[in-house]
Amino acid sequence: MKFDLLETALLLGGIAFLAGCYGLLYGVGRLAQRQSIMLAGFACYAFLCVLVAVIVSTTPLAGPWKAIVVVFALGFLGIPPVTWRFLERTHPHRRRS
Amino acid sequence: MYRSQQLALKYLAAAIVIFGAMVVAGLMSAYYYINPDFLFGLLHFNISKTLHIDTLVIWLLFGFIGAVYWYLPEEFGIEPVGIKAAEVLFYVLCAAIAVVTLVFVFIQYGPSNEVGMWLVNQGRKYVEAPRWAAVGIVVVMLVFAYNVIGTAIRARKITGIVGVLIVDLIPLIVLYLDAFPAARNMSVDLFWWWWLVHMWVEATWEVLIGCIMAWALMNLLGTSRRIVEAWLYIEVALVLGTGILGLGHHYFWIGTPQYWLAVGGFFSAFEPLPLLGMVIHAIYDAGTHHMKTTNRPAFYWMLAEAFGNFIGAGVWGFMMTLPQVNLYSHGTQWTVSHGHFAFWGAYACGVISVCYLVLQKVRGSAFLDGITWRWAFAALNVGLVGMVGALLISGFAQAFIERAQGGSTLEAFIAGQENFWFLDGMYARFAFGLIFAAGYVVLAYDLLTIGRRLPVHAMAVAE
Repeated sequence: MKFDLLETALLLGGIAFLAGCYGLLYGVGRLAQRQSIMLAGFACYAFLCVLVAVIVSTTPLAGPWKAIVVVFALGFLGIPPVTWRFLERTHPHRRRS
Repeated sequence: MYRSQQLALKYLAAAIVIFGAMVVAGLMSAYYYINPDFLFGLLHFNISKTLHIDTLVIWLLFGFIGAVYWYLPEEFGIEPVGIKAAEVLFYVLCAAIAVVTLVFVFIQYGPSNEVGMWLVNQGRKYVEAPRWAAVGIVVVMLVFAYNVIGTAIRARKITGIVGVLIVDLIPLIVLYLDAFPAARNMSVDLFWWWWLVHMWVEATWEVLIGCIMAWALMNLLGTSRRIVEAWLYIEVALVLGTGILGLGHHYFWIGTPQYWLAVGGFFSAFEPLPLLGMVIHAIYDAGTHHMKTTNRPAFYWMLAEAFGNFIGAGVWGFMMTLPQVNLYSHGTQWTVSHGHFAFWGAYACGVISVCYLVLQKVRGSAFLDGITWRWAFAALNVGLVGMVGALLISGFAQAFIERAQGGSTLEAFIAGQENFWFLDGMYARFAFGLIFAAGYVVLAYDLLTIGRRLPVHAMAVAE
């Protein structure tokens, strides 16, 4: 199956949206110290990876742009934990027990 | 209260009034798509659209300037330098806006010569104001910069936030000089015009709102200056790093060299990354405060800013920023959808949040909450999300039928405009626009009355 303009755009938007869901659930999970919420966040990220695979395999984007999408997805994986660690380090008085 | 803060109140009040004018012009523009005969022979669509876009720029600018005038004396502990000139210029600016609006509505067109440019319209989107008014805006911005820089010099003190603000004011003013058209070649003209539009919206304004939000966070959550400034540097670096060369994502269909499309696509593809960091920061702040604050509307509008910015600029932007998609989506209702969401999330929510913070101080409320602001919050956000959803559907239809299938011919344009998906989107946009307008009315009422309706202790008990 070959995807076209609108499908490609929706997949790209879907990636960014799922990255937001991952970040949101990761943050809420860390705050509530609930493993299940964090797992839901990682599930969103896993779904994001599926969309990346679909983009790489089926869309008419040129090779370098597909590579950028992959790099972009990897960047999203690191942002929530890195940001969280930095926040905890800079707000020691607010750290939750 | 400092005179600068009294001036801030005037700027913020004027911002909310102009916000209302923007909503009215927006509703009219939306209605033209449903009924193109609307006000036929009296007021053309392009005038209505011009009013909608220009009032957007002006109300946000008023909001930013008002916020800075509010926080500046608190930052330095002295009255800002040159405040008298700023007070006079506020009234001059308001009068100029009224005159320009009347010219747009009643004169509408001028001759295609210097007279037309000086007195009627400079003819470039977002900065249509006639040249005399554009000169006035430059003067206002110069005085504003003088207020900020002069106050820092007099106080013999520079904070991280003010340092960033001062550095930001230079490109903010210099880039506005692009509002004065000088090139006769349209490609060259558009090339530089985008420098103004893009660098304001995706660079200098981002930094400006970053500074304002830094003050607001200290004010609202008591976050320490050290933390706020550290984050300001990081976020500004990331936003500018991805935003400046993201300029190229506008260079479609105007005759610029092709390499710009790749440069723009590459850098703007990374724009959502810092926005996700901001979302994480917002979650952290909200969670560690258990969603408790003394100013609930300001707090919620600030959260809406973080999430709206990510979705509007990040998700909507990433959907269309790669050149293979942007080639077709550029200049369609799809872009309009992205523009509405991004402006709302990145700027409008922040300005509204600052309005509530200022009102809490002005009205002496220890605790600011109520029911009315929730209705406004819900209606404005539902209306906005509905509008951008509807515009997205219309934009999809337009990009696919007019651009991808039809090849951007006039016939294809008409086919796109007549397609039922496009038309249904326009109807839905108008309907959600009405909800948004209702939200605006409730917001204006709430801003006028919050903190006055119930005594402070009664509100605290109610909570």
